[in-house]
Amino acid sequence: MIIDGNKKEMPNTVYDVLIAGAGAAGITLAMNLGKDGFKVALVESGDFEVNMDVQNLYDGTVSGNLPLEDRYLTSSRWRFFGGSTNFWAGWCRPFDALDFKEREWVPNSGWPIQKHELEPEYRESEKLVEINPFPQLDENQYFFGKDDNKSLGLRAPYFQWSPPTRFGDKYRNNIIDAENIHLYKNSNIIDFGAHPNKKALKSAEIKSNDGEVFNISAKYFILACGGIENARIMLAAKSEYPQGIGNERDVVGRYFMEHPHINETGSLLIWELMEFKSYGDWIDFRRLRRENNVRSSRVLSISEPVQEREKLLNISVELRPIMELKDIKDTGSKEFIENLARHSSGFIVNKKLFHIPHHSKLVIRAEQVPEKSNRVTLSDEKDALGIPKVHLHNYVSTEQLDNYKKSLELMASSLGSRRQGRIEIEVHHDSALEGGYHHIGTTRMGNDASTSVVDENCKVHELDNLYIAGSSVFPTSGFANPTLTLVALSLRLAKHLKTKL
Amino acid sequence: MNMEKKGAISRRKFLVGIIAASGLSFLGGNIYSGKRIGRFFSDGLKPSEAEIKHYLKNLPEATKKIGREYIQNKQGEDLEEELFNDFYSRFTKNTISGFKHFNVNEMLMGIIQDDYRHNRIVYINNWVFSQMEARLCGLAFVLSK
Repeated sequence: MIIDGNKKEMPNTVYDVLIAGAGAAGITLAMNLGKDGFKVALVESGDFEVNMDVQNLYDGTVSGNLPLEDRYLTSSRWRFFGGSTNFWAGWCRPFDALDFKEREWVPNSGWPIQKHELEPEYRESEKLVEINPFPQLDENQYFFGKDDNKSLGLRAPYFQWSPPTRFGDKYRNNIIDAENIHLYKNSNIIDFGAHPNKKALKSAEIKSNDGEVFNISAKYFILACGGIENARIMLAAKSEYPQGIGNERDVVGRYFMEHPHINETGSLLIWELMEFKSYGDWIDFRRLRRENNVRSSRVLSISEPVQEREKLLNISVELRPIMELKDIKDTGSKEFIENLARHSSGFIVNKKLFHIPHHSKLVIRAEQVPEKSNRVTLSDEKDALGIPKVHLHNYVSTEQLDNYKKSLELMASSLGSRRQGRIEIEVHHDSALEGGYHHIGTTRMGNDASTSVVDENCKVHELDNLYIAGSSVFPTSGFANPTLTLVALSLRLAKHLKTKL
Repeated sequence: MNMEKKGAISRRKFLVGIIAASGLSFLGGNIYSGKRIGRFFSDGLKPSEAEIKHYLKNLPEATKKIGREYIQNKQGEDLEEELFNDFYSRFTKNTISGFKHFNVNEMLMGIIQDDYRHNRIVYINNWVFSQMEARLCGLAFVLSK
């Protein structure tokens, strides 16, 4: 059922759950809770199509070195039904087990849950984003073949590419056809009302895009508006909580992380194409593609034991072929070449077709250290609804760039010792950093309320009935794109709430 | 790579050089594992300086271009001697371990792999080489002057 916040006909209902934000997390939660009969209010700022006036409610300012431009805030996320899945590329991969662990060489690392606890939800998430199940393999065992490479730790983890699933299109009918799910569109949460003891919320104050103000009451509340907006809403909701909601210890908005990308990292020359037959057998790569029409691609990375030994951050290196047709002998296989150019991964080259070494550019996608000083704050300026705009500060240190370079050197040594190729490395301290448009960590999960905002169930420490969904709860970022993991955590949260309702 | 500097080689030539230089260790049946060198070392005896220098001088041109880039920033009058002594001592250290049929190719491969395994690496124009590969290239250039 759709309710337009711009109209003045509001049902007088106390919902079981109010969910703010109809992106991947919000839609997942609403569908999951809705199918079990719970009364759900799904509150979305936008409509079913993008509206630039609404999109510009994201406007704000930035500082640091990632991102460099203010427009990042309005161009890296989308404020209408379906959220940022309306434009995502579809890269999916579960986090590595090591990403969840406390690592003494990564400050502020460690999740209160471990990967194995999330496996059932990962399996369900794979269905929602329309990919195949990731095999339950220990990828650290899958070096490029021989034992002598273990000490250098080269591995080739893979991503699957969702079609990409546009949650707003794919699951729209599941939402609007459900009698017990009320989709409030054009509706923005601007504050909360609390019960007298302040330990629980009572209602959300909503302002429509036309300026209409109304309240929605619920038993439980979930913020699922993205890594920047979740923090903004909490910091701006001051009528009952002067420090901002859930922010008595000044943690909300801190520990922001991106996935630093370095496009001009160097290049790779491979002439022994990874013993291709065994490589193909190793993951059943092509069969996976053929059977279910899901694209996959590989990256290079360093194994978890070697990350531990060398105190490395978790990075991935994508290979983008540098292919000049004049350099390729005529193999009579134009289709294959086009396919290669389209699907990128150098590993799918059949060396019998090419008699030149394969040359690829390297693109780093890396974990960023969670640092307290990288944060979302409110500025003095206000948006069209009267809500303070955000200021985002995020700085990737030179030490982190050095750490990424160390991983590349190990990859170079590994390929060299295996007589497979050579790597060119061009990571400089003035490297132009780009982001993956991933907003992580501002309401991080943890057991210690002085360094985290939510507990292992994604409940805000200071409140009994406010939960957070999305990548803002990730304590660390890994290198994997966040969507699969945030959908899994949303399913886990739905499961938890069902025990409370 | 600074394409502006005098005498710099093009990126394409450099890539070709890398492939050739890498051939030193494992592609290069033509250079080390072939008949010419096998003729001299097949008895497993320690090769002489003259023999080694002869073969280094005859490495491919592309290898020498890598070598030129490698030594460009090195200073010192005894560069040739330093490079050679370094290379020769390491090379010959491995030739007296009782092999009946000494294979130069395998031996160099072993040294180079060992360099990589222990992360003994050298940057040449941002490309990562093992120390031994870099010295081979450097020597090939110096000796050919």
